[in-house]
Amino acid sequence: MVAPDVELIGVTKRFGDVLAVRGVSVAVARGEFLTLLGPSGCGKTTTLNVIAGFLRPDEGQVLLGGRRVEHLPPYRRDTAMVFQQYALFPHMTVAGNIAFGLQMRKVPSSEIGRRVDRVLEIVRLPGLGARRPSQLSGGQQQRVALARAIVTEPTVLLLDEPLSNLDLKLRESLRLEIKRIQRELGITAVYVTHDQGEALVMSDRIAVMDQGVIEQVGPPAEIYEQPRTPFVAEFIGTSNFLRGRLASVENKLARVILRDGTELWARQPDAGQRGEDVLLMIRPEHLRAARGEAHGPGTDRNELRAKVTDVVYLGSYIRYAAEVSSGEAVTVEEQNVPGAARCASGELVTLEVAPEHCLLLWEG
Amino acid sequence: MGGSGYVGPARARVERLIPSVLYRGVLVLVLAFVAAPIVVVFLSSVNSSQYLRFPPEGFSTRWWVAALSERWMVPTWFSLRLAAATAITATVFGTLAALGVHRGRFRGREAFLAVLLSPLILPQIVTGAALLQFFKLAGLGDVLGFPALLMGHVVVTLPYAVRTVMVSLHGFDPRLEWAAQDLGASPLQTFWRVTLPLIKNGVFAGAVFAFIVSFNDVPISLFLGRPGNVPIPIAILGQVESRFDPAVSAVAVVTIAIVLALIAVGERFARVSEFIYQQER
Repeated sequence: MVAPDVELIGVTKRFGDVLAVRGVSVAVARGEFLTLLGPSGCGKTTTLNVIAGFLRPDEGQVLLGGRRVEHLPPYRRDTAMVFQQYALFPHMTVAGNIAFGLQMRKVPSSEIGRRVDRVLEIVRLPGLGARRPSQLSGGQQQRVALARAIVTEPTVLLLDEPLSNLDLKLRESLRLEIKRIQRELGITAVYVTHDQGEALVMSDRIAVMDQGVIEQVGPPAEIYEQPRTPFVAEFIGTSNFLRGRLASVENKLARVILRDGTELWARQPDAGQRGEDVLLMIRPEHLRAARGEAHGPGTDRNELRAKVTDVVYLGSYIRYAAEVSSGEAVTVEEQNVPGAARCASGELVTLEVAPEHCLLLWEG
Repeated sequence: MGGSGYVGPARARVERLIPSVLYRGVLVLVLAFVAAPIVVVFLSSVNSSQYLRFPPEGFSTRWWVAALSERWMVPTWFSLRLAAATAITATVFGTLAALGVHRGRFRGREAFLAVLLSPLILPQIVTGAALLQFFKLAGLGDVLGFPALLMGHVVVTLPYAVRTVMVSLHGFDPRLEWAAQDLGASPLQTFWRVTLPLIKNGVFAGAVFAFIVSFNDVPISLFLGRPGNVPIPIAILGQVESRFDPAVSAVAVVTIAIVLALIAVGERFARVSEFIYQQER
């Protein structure tokens, strides 16, 4: 079995009394794009800096290509970082910046010229080698930073929120471009961001972090569709949470009773039961608002009685805010079908949701 | 109250003009006051009279011939060597100290910086006398002359180098060093290729200040020289104490020219003046 390009085993990092990262274990396979996703202060950048060698872990192991590297300084590790603020050398030209890593590796100067030109083409900045970083736009500077990192052909590319200083349009196009380059070069990448959209679009796997701990690791679809903790469900996409009591499990479906006695069927959790008090998670797009009590609930369909409190028109879809009979506020998102009747604010409706879209979660 | 809020256009113009005229007038007076002695010194150096006379009585180059003789050129050359050695030493140690204080999170960092900068506050004559006593007590009487002067001058010029380098470090992004190391540069390579090029103005300004302070210094040099081994300000002082010699004026013009030339060079390559006028941001 090939050793993963990056492996963290029980990595812990403290800053004074603050535990920035606690017991993080994760492996990144060759050519894989892993994103560390989480709110600011969750420890994702600290984790990245531990991999790069800028920080030493207080506990745990860091392996690159199966080799332990905790004791190695950054300049002896085969990683390359793209920084949030670009960190281009202002006193060097674009070509000088890109050539720096090659010069440090004692690559012959004739070859340096060729490789700099080629990487400038890869990042789509051909002919800009003679410019100074200050003469480039933010997006161009970030491309140079990317070129500087990949020209040395590192085993692992580390990216620390590389797009967060750019405007939305540029961010979206650069996302795809970074992903294209990473895939074409077959380079292993660890990407740090707080932007769930970026994480979903770019990653092979996402590790969601909170308070120094990895809450869940998995492919984007799994993270979105089967979040394992309320934090993950809340952080990725929008979620509705209903408090309830787990009454029984029948035919692979869990029967949950809400605070007002409403009975709902939910997907049986993968993990074993962890107590009676549960949270029922439902994505807004899985709820449908129907007028009146058209059908009647069953194990194939759940119904919630609710009162619409607000209607927001968003073009391609309509968003309702509603209060369900158990008193909790929920959000409903429906495709906008022009001409179709809409619910009005104050109207009493029935919210329908299929049991497979109701997910059982436990707090803490 | 009537009409006091309204200021006619003519009056407004005058009101704007008065401060401007006043300001310019004061400025001209200040600059004239600074420049006048230099002019007087230059005029007396080409004066034919034996005595310091103003206005000059006739033109002569004989004081310049005397000034360029060995009697004055030996201490001038001595001062140039001393100032150059001081500038290099103070800049190297000042840069290292500034880097250490800037990055270090060690105990007593503030105290260390205060000690480094203290020669700026202490009267130099006290520092000079103390150094002389120190050398005597330590049985180092032999070092008096160039070695002792160098040490003394480094002590009083170090604060300038530390300050100017710290000012440049203030605007220096430490992530650039991370980036360099991440790309494979050792700490030493990082310093030469990234850190030093980006703080070089501060380093250069520190060297220029150290050179000028050393070259102009009297109070330290007064104590630490030895006969035949004195810098030019002490040689001038020794002459003027006994009898005025117009050759001294010519020598003074030479020393002023050296310092001005150095400032011009410093300004051209490192915008040294920014370190005088700009506060640490």
